[in-house]
Amino acid sequence: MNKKENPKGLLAAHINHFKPRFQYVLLDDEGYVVESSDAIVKLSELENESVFDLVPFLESLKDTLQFLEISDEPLWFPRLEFPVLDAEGVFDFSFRRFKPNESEQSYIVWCIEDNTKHYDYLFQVQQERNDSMISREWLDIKNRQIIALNEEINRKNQEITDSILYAKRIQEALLPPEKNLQTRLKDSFILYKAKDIVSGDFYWLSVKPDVTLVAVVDCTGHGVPGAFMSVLGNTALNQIANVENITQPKLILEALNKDISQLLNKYVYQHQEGYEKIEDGMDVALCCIHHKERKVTFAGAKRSLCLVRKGEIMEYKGNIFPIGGFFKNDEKEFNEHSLDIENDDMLYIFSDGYADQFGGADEKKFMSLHFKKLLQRIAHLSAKEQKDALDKTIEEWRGNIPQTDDILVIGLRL
Amino acid sequence: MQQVNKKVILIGNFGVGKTSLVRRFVHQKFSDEYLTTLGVKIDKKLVELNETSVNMLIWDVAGEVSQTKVPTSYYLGAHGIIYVFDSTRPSTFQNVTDDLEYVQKLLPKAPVCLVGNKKDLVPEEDLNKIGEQLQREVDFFTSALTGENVEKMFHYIALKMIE
Repeated sequence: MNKKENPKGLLAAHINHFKPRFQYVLLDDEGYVVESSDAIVKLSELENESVFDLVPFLESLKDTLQFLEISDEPLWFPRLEFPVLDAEGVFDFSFRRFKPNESEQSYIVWCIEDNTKHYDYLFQVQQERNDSMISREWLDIKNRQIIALNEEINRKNQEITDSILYAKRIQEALLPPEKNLQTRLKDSFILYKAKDIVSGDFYWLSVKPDVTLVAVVDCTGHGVPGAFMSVLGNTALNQIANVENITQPKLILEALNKDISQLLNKYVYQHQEGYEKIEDGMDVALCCIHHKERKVTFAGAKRSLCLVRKGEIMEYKGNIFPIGGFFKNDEKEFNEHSLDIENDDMLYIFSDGYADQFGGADEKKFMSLHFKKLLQRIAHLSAKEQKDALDKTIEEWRGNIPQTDDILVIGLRL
Repeated sequence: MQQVNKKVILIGNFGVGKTSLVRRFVHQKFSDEYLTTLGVKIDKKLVELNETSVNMLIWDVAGEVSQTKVPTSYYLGAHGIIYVFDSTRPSTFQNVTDDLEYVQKLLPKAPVCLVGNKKDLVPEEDLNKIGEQLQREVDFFTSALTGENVEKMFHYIALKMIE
């Protein structure tokens, strides 16, 4: 906009809007009004009333004003936010001592400057500034709290991970090395892939003069609770087979079921849920290889045994109930299968982790049938090749999907 | 009963609740709406202490990050100082030492009361940490919202001013 287009009076209106109003009041030392211009508040009409008694601000300044000297600089009080009698607004006050010519008496000149309109604008600016600064500080505080919380979580996470990593060493020490199995059964493999650092699946081996006992155990849950269960199972199996010297799979499972049920048949206090009965258990596939008789006996608790013979696959199903769990003890009598061995027979025992792995194009489970067909297809390969093929297949199947459960497959060439 | 007039000033950072404390003490009211104080608001309340009736003239001064920015005329003739900070915002108690040193130079005889407001928003253990951090005893942790310690705090400064 150039000068010529500027509407007349705009600046004048603006100046007029923000122009302060002034009032001058002449007071004596007792606060009585001697004279007032009354532009803002009517003070000239006050009779026998001291302004010190009417305005708390002046009351609090009474002593100070009495000691004000003529030579002193005027006292200035900006932005006073209280009414002066009936006049509301934001005022600036100034005071100075004044002495008329030759007069003995001196007075206080009180100047009231009404800057309400100007300060309205200042108020808005200051309010916005303060609001934004407080919000920013709150945001900073919240951010710092979140950072501190994250650090705490990371620290605790690290502590837990370190603790579980140490537990992994203990769990690994309980598992017999693969070569122990291969000493008895040269062409055998163990594919063991824990979902977490520690596993709820474990395998167990007992080598005796005439027989070899091999078990795949899948405890309820995975990770730390699964690992606890695995320690219980491992200890109980050692006691039954190696101390009590029981080698018949059916009897081992029945003894294991009794032990685990007795150990876990309790109510324990859960923080929020109150008392809860423990219903954890384990699925087991257990086979006993009788080397002299060239036969295998098998019993299963919710797990099967697969035999691949001359390209054909046969499944020997275990019982439908697990070890422990919520089934009643007296209902559990395990069946036992007896298989005569032929040359090149390939036996497989496994947990459900392989078949339950999600993946593929549709992110579905690998499925038991698919798994058995795979076993059938690879059974002619060497144990090492089978292990690699199984590993490669499941890794390709899951792609970027996390591992669903612990995976354990044992293959035995008889 | 003897009556005395005493001017007390409330100073501290903006948004710490100085106006709310005065409002709670004088009018027994509270509003959570924050309206900044531009310059100074003045209220008065009579406090009776044993043999003396103290007419407290309370100057509620606009909050500033540093008290050096407060017009010096506001401090004139003050008998007592209440320094208020917000217990939830560390920035409001970072300058306590410097601020009080400055104010006590202006008013060497005036007693000081250090107050942490908004105590209702801070757990007790965090309040103790503030005291340790400041290396100076906090006289009161108050809540203008609930009124906790507000009356006590004003009575304390009134007593200090007449001692």
